[in-house]
Amino acid sequence: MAETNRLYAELPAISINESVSRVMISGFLMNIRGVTVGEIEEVKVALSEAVTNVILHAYPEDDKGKIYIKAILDGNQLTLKVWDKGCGIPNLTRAMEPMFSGSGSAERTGMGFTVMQSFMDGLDVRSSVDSGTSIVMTKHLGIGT
Amino acid sequence: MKMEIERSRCMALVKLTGELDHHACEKIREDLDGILRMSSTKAMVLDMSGVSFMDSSGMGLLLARSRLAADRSVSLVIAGATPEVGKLICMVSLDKQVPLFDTAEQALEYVKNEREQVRING
Ligand SMILES: Nc1ncnc2c1ncn2[C@@H]1O[C@H](COP(=O)(O)OP(=O)(O)OP(=O)(O)O)[C@@H](O)[C@H]1O
Ligand SMILES: [Mg+2]
Repeated sequence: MAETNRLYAELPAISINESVSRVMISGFLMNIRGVTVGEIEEVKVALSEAVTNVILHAYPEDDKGKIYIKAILDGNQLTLKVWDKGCGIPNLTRAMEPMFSGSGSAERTGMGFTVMQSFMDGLDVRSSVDSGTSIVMTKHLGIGT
Repeated sequence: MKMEIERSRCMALVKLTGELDHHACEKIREDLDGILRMSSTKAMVLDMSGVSFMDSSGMGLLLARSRLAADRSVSLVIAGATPEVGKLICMVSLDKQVPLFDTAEQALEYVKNEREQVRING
């Protein structure tokens, strides 16, 4: 029978927790049968995108809420959920387009969702204005498993 | 994120070590812009061989610096990007705007030749 494992974390939406979340997920994935360093790196980038989006976009500057992370491993199948209770995304179709950023900052390329999509097998985003955003990503890990 | 700067006349060699995420970008952005805005700076080599992680925040940092470099007529080149970092650089077509080199030595050689051309052709 395939082994299952679970991880749940609640972190304040502050930028130091970008690296904290990456260290956490690497540890969680380390012992999967056949998993490659490249696959773990891809998951780390995708998680970092989702977490950074919560930190940058979900909450007002003076009232940073929490980042919620849940990972479920079912054998070699990873389901990674990242959600917040923030402002939500008014036009999700537009937000997910490559090179679209709602931030208005020249420092943002608007490539976060595109990166998540290309590094994971599946990406499902739900959002509702004023109640929050939830992202579910899936990936099969371990070549030949 | 560690940032080491070596200056020789009009050239700046900037070596980044660590993880280039949003948190790190906030810390090094102003220093990078400071170097790009110095009137003596004509070329900047960004040595990324020590960057073990990058996400879209790093892509944004590099893209915005390449715009500033172009505005200031500074020649910006990137050296030593790992395959993972290189993949993200190509995703935003930054490789079309900024020359990429395997090593800092190769990048320095390139900017030296470029400066030499400028000196000869005026
Ligand atoms: N958790 C969230 N809460 C509110 N808005 C969000 C959230 N995640 C994304 N968005 C919105 O979707 C847009 C697109 O996100 P995406 O990650 O693709 O680009 P970005 O964050 O603007 O730039 P980059 O990720 O390249 O630095 C954001 O600019 C923001 O407007
Ligand atoms: Mg983003």
